[in-house]
Amino acid sequence: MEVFRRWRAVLALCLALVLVACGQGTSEDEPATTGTEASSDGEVESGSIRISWQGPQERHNVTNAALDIFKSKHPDIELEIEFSGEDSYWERLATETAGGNMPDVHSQHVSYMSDYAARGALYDMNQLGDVLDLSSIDDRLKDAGTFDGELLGIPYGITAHSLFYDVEMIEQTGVEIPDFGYTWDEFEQLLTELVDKLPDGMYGSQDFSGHDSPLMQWARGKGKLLYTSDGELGITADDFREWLEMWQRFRDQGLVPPAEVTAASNFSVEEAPISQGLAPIEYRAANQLQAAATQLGKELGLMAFPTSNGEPPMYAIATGYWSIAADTDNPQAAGVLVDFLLNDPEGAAELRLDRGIPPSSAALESLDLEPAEQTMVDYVNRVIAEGTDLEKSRPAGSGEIEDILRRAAEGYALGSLTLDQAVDQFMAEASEALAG
Amino acid sequence: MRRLLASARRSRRKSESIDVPGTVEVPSPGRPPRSGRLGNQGRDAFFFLSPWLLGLSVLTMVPMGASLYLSFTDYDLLSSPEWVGFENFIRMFTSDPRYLTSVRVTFIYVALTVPLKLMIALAVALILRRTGRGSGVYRALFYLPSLLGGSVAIAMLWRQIFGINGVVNRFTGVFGFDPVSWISDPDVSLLVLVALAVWQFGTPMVVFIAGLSQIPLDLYEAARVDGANRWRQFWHVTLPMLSPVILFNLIFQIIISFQSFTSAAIISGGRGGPADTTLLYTLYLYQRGFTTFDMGYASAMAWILLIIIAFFTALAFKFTSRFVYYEGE
Repeated sequence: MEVFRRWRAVLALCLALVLVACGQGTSEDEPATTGTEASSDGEVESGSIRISWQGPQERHNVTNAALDIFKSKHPDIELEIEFSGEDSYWERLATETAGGNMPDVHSQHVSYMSDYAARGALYDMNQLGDVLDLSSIDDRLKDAGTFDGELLGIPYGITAHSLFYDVEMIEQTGVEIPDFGYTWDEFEQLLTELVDKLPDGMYGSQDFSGHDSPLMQWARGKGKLLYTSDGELGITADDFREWLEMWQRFRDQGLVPPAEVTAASNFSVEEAPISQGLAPIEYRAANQLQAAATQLGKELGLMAFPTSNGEPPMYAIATGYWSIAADTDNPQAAGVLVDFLLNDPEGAAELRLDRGIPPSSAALESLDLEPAEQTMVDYVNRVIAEGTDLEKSRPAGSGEIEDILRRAAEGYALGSLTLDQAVDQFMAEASEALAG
Repeated sequence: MRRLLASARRSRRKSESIDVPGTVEVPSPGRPPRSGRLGNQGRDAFFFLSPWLLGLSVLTMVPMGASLYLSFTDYDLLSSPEWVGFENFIRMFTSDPRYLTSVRVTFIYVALTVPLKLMIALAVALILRRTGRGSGVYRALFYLPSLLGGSVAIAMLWRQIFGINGVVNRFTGVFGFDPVSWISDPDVSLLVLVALAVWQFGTPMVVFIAGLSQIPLDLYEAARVDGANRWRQFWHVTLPMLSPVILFNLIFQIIISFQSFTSAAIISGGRGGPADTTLLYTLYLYQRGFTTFDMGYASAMAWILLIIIAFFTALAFKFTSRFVYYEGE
């Protein structure tokens, strides 16, 4: 019975602890919910701010290293750091925003930017003139983050879509890598030649029929846009049918891996064809070159996307944006942090080109580039020089297109959808997603 | 706090003086207990239940209420919810083919997983029921997958094992079979998930072992005397005596199978692919909620899932009540 009595005491203690914990929880939440409008322009550059970004491990490493420098330079600003992988980031950001708890400084992406901008979730950084120096940032970049006259995000890097190739493997075959402006027919010939000369069991290229960026490049190569300026789908059912048929032809000829192999891999560097020794060519954004080359321990080159009309279809894109939450308690401190991330040479030395070419020309000049980084900078600069403007933003709902496309392309490739079904499914779902 | 403890102590002292609980006459159901003694006990009970009740109300009832409200709204997390009546529910059944796909996939998954898992669990339990040298070790080993199986790491491992270059293909290759891309072939991808779920038969197995050990040995002895062989003993003694435990396991497994999420999410990279063949209900719900930020729709889906599970649980109770034998009856 004595044992019994003691248990009651223990239980009571547990309960007391639970209650105490609850009490603390609410008292901590209090300032977060009431302090949202406390901010004013005259505030000092101190206090606590939260920063959050998404990306692969390498990006976390360099960003954390840069933020360590920030901490030592700004001891008055208390920094709370959050980072996560690509997929979970957007879930978390949306949930945090819904809960009135958006990170003060956070990364945005061209696919989601307009969603957040339209809902007034982002802070107009034009108000931060005294702490945020934008003098060395190109006007076109500022323009890319401006919505209705408000500067809601500043591109943290410039990149372009590209095809990665395994330099050693290509050299062994003796095949020439084509220059900008080559056509899809020439691409098909190139793959045929590669398959001939590569060892048995290897293919010419990755099958990227299920990814939205290549589809965008393909549409541009035909003089069309995947998304019109009104935010609608810019390709027709016939266009999409042609896209699927082209890839089916590639698969039939053994130029790209069979559908089952493609469906089994996710899009990570380690599961993609170059790493698996399946094919020497895969599609990726150019800024990932250095990280991928390091990870694979291979020399990688960049080649342009094919076109149909002779015009290179690539265009520069913002890898992402730094944005500030509209309801931040401390816009001044957030501005100081964004300024550091964009302009500080010591910070830039850590961040390097992981997020693409830095927007500040001064920051880029302060870097001593490694070969892979130089390849990337040359490629992106060439893309910029060849003409097209920076892609400004994608319409609301475009974040869903990749999944819709992949299901249609994969379903057709695996034979669980007929061509007609795949085309109808894509057109219907994509139009619905873009209509909101 | 001290007062509560004091009252707890007081009531304990009282309860020491009463008879063994088993002999106390049970008050007829529906009528509140009259005596102050039981009232005190009730108060104590609530006191000790309070951490759980607190959790139930704050962490379960409030979100459930919110979800019920949201299921009648259009809510994308960023703007405030907009009341749309039954539109979400109507859309599900009229203009969302992926929803119907997810329902179909889930039904197939449950229909394969639950019976297979229970049969294997029972078979292994019959083997391991005897206690002897090392039986504890074997029980622990067979239970292990249930501890690990729900984890992300095992789902990743499974992805490798059933990949085109995985162990399974190496093994079948020895016998001259062509390699199959188990996780990306629409015809077999769901079976990989079923296999992963069935592999975690430990929990029902442990319950079965406990149930088996409750069956009086003299029943078997009597059966043997009457000339019953092993099979007839199983059929006429073991199964009827075990039927309440089977019912419990059946209902439990139906519920958790309908709610399966992790394995499908990890193995298909969160997409339910290839070609939606592993799009379990909860996975589609998750995609709706957190990929396309259609929280209202996702909430409505959650409520339909609740109704589906309740329906099948009720069905299990109804059908099995004829076959389940309770000793007290």
